[in-house]
Amino acid sequence: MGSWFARVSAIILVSLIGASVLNVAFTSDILFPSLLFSIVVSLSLSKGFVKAMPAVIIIGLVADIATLDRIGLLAAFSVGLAYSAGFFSRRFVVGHGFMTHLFAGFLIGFGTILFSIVAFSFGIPGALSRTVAGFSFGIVPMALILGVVSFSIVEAVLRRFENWLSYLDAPNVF
Amino acid sequence: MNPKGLSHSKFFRAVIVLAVLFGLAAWAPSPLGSLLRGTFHTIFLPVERLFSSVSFGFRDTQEFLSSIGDLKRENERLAEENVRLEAENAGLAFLRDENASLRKSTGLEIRKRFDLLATEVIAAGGEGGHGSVIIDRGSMQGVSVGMTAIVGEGILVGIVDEVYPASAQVALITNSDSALGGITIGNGSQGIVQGDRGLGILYGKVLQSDPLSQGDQVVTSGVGGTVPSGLLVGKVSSVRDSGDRLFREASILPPVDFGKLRFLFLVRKDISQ
Repeated sequence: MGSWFARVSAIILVSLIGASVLNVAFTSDILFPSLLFSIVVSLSLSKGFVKAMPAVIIIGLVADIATLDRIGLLAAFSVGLAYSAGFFSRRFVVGHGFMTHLFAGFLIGFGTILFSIVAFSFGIPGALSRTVAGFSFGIVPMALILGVVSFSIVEAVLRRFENWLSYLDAPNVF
Repeated sequence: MNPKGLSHSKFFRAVIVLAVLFGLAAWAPSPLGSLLRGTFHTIFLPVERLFSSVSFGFRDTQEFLSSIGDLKRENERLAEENVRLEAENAGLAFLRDENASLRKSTGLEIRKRFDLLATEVIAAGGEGGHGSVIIDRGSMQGVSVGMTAIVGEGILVGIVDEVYPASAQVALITNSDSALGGITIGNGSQGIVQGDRGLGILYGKVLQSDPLSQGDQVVTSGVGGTVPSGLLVGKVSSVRDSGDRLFREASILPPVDFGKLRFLFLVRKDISQ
């Protein structure tokens, strides 16, 4: 019960940070997607796609509700990235360490760029071509670096959070 | 792979979930979305208020620190501008006195134009993060759908499109769903002001015969009756023909940065009418 409450609180906290901190204090539109995708990629790499999927869907949907995006859009990107993380990590990444961070960061960066293109044009007739035409390539290195940095931080925080949750779930030794 | 194996594969599950989620996003059920957002932003209003006030404090400090280097140059520029404005002010003071005496002689009082409700932004999002904002006033404070949101001395920023008990969602005029009547000051060219994916504002459907040039100021025309007339939208930055060449369209440079909005005023009533 304690761990369930902690998980739900963490999901809501992340969404509130996105809507009321990152979207309010910074004009950049890639910060929150980058943070969110770091969480889902970390979850997928640590638990495996199938086990992480329910949490990934819930995080995505709550984030969609909080940040006023079309409901389902961030969730769909989160599921796609979580699957891609599991799929590519089995084929290209051996063990842990720097390469894992680089791989995950680049995946998050590309996911963020793709999301920023789709989010600007989803459901608006003819907008995708205009968004692609006006796409600024200056965002690419920033998104990739942000992906690596945010994944490194999120992965460390998530590992400690999971340890704390397993402590909460452990049977009372006394 | 046998059919059972396929139906249990990760790929199959991912495809099904993705199809459902993208379908949900494309369908965009408005009542359900409004209900979920309303519930979320009502429950977490105190937390959002706390977070946003801390964020605004952080942003203000960051902007102050980054602007220190520019202060000297800015000071010199302002000193020059001050001299020019003093001269202009003297002329305006003369006109003000003349206007006041004329109003007195004809029995007209100077009145405020709008009955306003002050609100503060507590969250932002949509269309890449800056298509809409959530404000800290809702139906309990008299906010209703369609109210106009302005800043400063009548600069249009958006229209309330969803109302919750203690908060409301304002669709900014940069939002793709926003569209309202506009008119240019001076030459009176009418058109439609429309948001461009949360990134900017377009001024379209202007007749080819109507004059439209860079630097023209666009204000609301009041057509439709929802938005008061005469609210500043922005300045025309570039003009071109529309895709079908039937009309002319322009990009509008807004006078405010929509990514940095904090205090908005909702127009309760246009009391000048």
